[in-house]
Amino acid sequence: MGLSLAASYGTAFAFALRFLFPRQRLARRRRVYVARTNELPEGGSRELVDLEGLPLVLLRAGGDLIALSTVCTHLGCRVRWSAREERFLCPCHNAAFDRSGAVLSGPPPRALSRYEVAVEAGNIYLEMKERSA
Amino acid sequence: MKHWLSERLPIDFDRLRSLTNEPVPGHLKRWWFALGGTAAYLFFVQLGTGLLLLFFYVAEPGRAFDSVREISSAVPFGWWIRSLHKWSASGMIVALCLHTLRVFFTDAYRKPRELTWVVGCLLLFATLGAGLSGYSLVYEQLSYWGATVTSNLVGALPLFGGWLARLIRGGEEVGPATLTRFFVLHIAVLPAMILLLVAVHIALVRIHGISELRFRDQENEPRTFPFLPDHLLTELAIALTIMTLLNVLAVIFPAQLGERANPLQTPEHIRPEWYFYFAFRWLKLTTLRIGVIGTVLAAVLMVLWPAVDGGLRRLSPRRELSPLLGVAAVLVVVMLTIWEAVS
Ligand code: HEM
Ligand code: FES
Repeated sequence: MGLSLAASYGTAFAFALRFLFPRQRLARRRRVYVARTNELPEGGSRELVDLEGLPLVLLRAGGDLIALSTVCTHLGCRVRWSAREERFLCPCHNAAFDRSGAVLSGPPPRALSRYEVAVEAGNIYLEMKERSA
Repeated sequence: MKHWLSERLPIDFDRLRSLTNEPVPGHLKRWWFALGGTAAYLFFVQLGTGLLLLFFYVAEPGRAFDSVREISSAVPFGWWIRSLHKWSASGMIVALCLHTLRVFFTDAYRKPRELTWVVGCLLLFATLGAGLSGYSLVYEQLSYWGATVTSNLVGALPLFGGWLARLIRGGEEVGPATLTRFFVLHIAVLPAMILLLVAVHIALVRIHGISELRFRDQENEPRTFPFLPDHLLTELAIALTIMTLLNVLAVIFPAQLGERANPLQTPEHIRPEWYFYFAFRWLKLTTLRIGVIGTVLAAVLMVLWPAVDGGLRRLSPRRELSPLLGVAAVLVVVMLTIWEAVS
């Protein structure tokens, strides 16, 4: 009696939980064309949005192409590049990141995350997750 | 007629009267001891105005902001309802904080009222949650980023944080589903929870009776006075004063509307509602881990204070440590708040 009650109410509860939680599909990755190399001279940058709708910035610094997520690793605000201070600043809790995304000051626990960059025949591709909905 | 009613509603009104008409200690004639009642009253203002707002508010990311603008600028008296809802939310938090302070510094949380204190703390937290979730519904820049930061903060909680964050966000990140979840929290889950907690809180207060305090100038007065009609009249007088105050505030400082939320850009200057200034400043000062754990510890310490206080009194039976620590805690919170306010 107790067991069957527990089993049926338990099942109903488990279904309700399943209902409340977003589906977690394994996000597929995709390689996406974003620009031509000659569109990004040394010091140049370009703001983009990835397939999940999150903003990022593609920049060329010291000859390297870097694609950085501009989602602050602290609590998710958007960092912005300050040309004057030559760093990314987060307005939420005063964090600063350098050009490569490393933390300079403030509360964030780690560097800005990077997207993998691939260059083929003068085309720049970024590796990004597909929108999971 | 009376006969007809009493047959269908067999309630003994005399007994009901004597049951609800508890004697109230004399000091509750002073308004600052009736602050719990003030918060409860403001909660009912929230229920009333919130219900009205629901007639026009649309909880959909593309339309939320416009619907609030509509309420504020086009719907007759919409600005008034919205402003009352906003000011009454602030008032509720002020009343709860003051009520907590008075309970703390008059030792009213001590045996046998520990559970009343615990339920009261939960009420304070639930109300802060209602303020936050309600503000996020406006879908302006500041409220959107406030909700983003908070949901990520929840995600940084140890153990079940990630799980809880997915639950309130409806996804891995703040997205279109998040507004719906905050909406449900704001208009259903939290109000129901608060209603339930208030019922338990008041039941506990009634069971133990309100802790008594005597003032010198009251020595010749009777110790208690009846709830009906005396205390009810006190509460009604307070309610009228508050209603006047809310109306004045609503007319002079109506609820404003900032910029529409933009998920791609955090504004240069961001700041939560005043009641979260202290937490906001605290998060700026600490690393993520310490920030989160410190906040959780402070909340747990507050809820469990009756037990902590018991331990302290065993450690130092002569000197009362609780009031000292209480003053220190209040000073820290007030200082963090002021720091954020002036910076
Ligand atoms: C526990 C008490 C409550 C508190 C502390 C609270 C607080 C708030 C706050 C601070 C806002 C944002 C106000 C603004 O900036 O415009 C808000 C908005 C809102 N609240 Fe509440 N609220 C409470 C209860 C309720 C209830 C019970 C309902 C519905 C039955 C409700 C419905 C709404 C709606 C529809 C909005 C969005 C419209 C608007 O902002 O004008 N609230 N609430
Ligand atoms: S979210 Fe960027 S510093 Fe807190």
